[in-house]
Amino acid sequence: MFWHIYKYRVKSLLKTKMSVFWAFIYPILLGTLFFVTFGNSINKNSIETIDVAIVKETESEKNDSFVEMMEKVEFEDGKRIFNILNLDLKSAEGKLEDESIVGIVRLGDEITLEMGKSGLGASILKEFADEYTRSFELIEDAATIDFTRIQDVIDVNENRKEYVEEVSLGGEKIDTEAQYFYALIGMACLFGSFIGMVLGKDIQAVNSPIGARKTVSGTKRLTLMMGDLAAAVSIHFVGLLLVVTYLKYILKIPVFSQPLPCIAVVFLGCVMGVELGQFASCVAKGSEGMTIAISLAISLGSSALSGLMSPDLKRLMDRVAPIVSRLNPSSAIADCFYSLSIYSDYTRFAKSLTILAVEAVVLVVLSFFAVRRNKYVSV
Amino acid sequence: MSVFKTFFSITKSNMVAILIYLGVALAMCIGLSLSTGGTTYSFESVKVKVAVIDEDESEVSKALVSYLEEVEDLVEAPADNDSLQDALFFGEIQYLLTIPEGFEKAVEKDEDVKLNSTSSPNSYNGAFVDMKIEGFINAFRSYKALGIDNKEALSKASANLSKEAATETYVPDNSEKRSDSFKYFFYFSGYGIMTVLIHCIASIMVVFNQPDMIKRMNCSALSVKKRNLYIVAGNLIIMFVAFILFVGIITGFNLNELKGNAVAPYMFINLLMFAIFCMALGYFVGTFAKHDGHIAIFSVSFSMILSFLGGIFVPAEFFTKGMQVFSKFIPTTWYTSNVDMLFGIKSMTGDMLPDFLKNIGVIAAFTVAVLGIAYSISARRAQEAEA
Repeated sequence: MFWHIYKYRVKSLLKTKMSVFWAFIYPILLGTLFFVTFGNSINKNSIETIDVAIVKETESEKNDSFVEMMEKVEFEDGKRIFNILNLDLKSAEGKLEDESIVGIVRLGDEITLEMGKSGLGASILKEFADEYTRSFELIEDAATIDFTRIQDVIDVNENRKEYVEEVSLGGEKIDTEAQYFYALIGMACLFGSFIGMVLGKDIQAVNSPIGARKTVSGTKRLTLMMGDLAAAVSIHFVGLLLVVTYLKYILKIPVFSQPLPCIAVVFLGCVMGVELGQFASCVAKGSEGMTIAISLAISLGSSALSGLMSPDLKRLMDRVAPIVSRLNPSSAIADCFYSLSIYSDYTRFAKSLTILAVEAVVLVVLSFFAVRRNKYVSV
Repeated sequence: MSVFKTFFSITKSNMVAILIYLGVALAMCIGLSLSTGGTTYSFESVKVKVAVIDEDESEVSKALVSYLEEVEDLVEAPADNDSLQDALFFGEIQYLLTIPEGFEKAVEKDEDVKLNSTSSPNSYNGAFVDMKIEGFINAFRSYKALGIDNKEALSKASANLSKEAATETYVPDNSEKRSDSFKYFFYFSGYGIMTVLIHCIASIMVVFNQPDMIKRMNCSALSVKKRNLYIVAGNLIIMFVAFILFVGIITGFNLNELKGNAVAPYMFINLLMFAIFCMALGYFVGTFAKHDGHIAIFSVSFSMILSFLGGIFVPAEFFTKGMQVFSKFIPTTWYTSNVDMLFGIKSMTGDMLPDFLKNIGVIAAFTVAVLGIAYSISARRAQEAEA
């Protein structure tokens, strides 16, 4: 009986446009949208050259030396850090106002920076100017302490050593844009709730003629539910695997670094999503509109809290309401992918996966108890 | 009048769903806006949460820790590796430094020694902290080259590191310091109002666009003109109620920013124009959606796509050049352009007014286009119903 229910539910779901849209089309659409929006920046590691205006107020060796250093410094890939524009103050301020440059360097008796808004380019310019100022002051100070040893001080300054070595507690760095794709996969899993809603509707006699037929049939409620659930999860799972394949091999997004654990996460995410919809449908005794509203509210809300629209919101939740953040299914899915990408052991991954598994099982049990002994005087 | 009453009785029957969408939209707007920070026209260094494991416990290592306490936000490091991993993962610690035993001796003798650092996975401020640490050690080495003792060298190194290039923030004449979250309230209100209006209006229009309903209305004594007028009036009321709600939220959370803000009326006019466009979009979705499932598909797709491409969730400056050009065809882009233009200025100037009106005009043009397409679809449907 189970396989009979499974087979016909698969056929029925594949003919339901809504199921096909949410399982297959919407995640691919959104993934493509993310990719075209961010461009290929996810695979790039370089920072662009920073446009800076220089306003020379006084001529001095110190100022000339500063400009010379600015022209010479390069990133690791050999690209110049600064693109210098020699302008008068008014023109420079005009460019700063329309954000064509990150800052103005006024070379007078002192080096003065005029900065607009905060940003990576502005921070690099500030750090460079501060470092130059300190080096200059250090040499001057050293000369007043012991002029005879000034060459030793200059040698130490010119042969600076690197003391800090970045190590991981077990893994690698992660690209910030990858966060969006992890949250996208989380959302795509939870949008399986629209498929789950169809299951919930079709098992309740008050909601559909199929529900009425199923209620009067001799088949156990558990068998009906499990057959439907298995079919819905299969379709949603295949859809998500197609989405991940598209992201990984066509858009070349660095996801699914370890296939087997990632497949486990996606599978549990699908169960979670489908059950969410079924549970909402079983519990919300209202119109289809209200059930959709509840499913959408939970899926979208959960996705927003996991950083889909703004990573800042996830960080805020981690700080302000860590329990909510840990229990949020979309966050749990994103955290699983994070852990696999960043850490070499599976402790963090196992924790997040366990949370997801427990939530999925709880929802299955609650859905079953919600419809278990429903009896109707009249439909 | 009965059409008008029917309009609101359909609204009433969908009230729970409408309230759920409204609640979610408002909550997301508030959450997303409050989670951003910063102030316009203020260049500030960001302090990183640094934890230090000092295995050397020497004069030099302690001085380094004191220096980091001054320039960053020093937090305590958990004892075990699991807790450390968790703290780094969830951003409680953004940078972990381990100073090995023998560090002071190695620096004094100019030997190679490595301090291990680990940054939080999604924090890129680690490089700046590295630079500060290396700056400290190299400054100490420089002073030690003069032959002075550790204590004096550390003292002079700390004094040297407190020096920096004089920095001023450029504030244009017609500008005002504002909290960034004020801007983001308008940004995310655009998304919220779009979600709410598409759902609400489409779910009502779906009923009016059913073939049986069209036939019944055609049989009635009410003229087509009056019928459409009542429907438009109903839509406008729903749109206005949603607009007022979002204005209330923005006002409630940004009272200080709105006091004496001469450009606030223009920002609300911009939001109103965008709300009218969203109403038109909801009407459009209602003409071809058949049931609530269809409405959900279109409302979620439209609101997400238009919000991403319009620069609401990700600023347009991060788009590729091609996408920046394409985004000009998205009405949301013109809405966010107006928000960016008006945000942080004291008053509307003669130079800016034409640009503001141009952006409003473009949104109006999109509204007319969408309504035109919706009207032609519904007119054809009415003809099919008559045939």
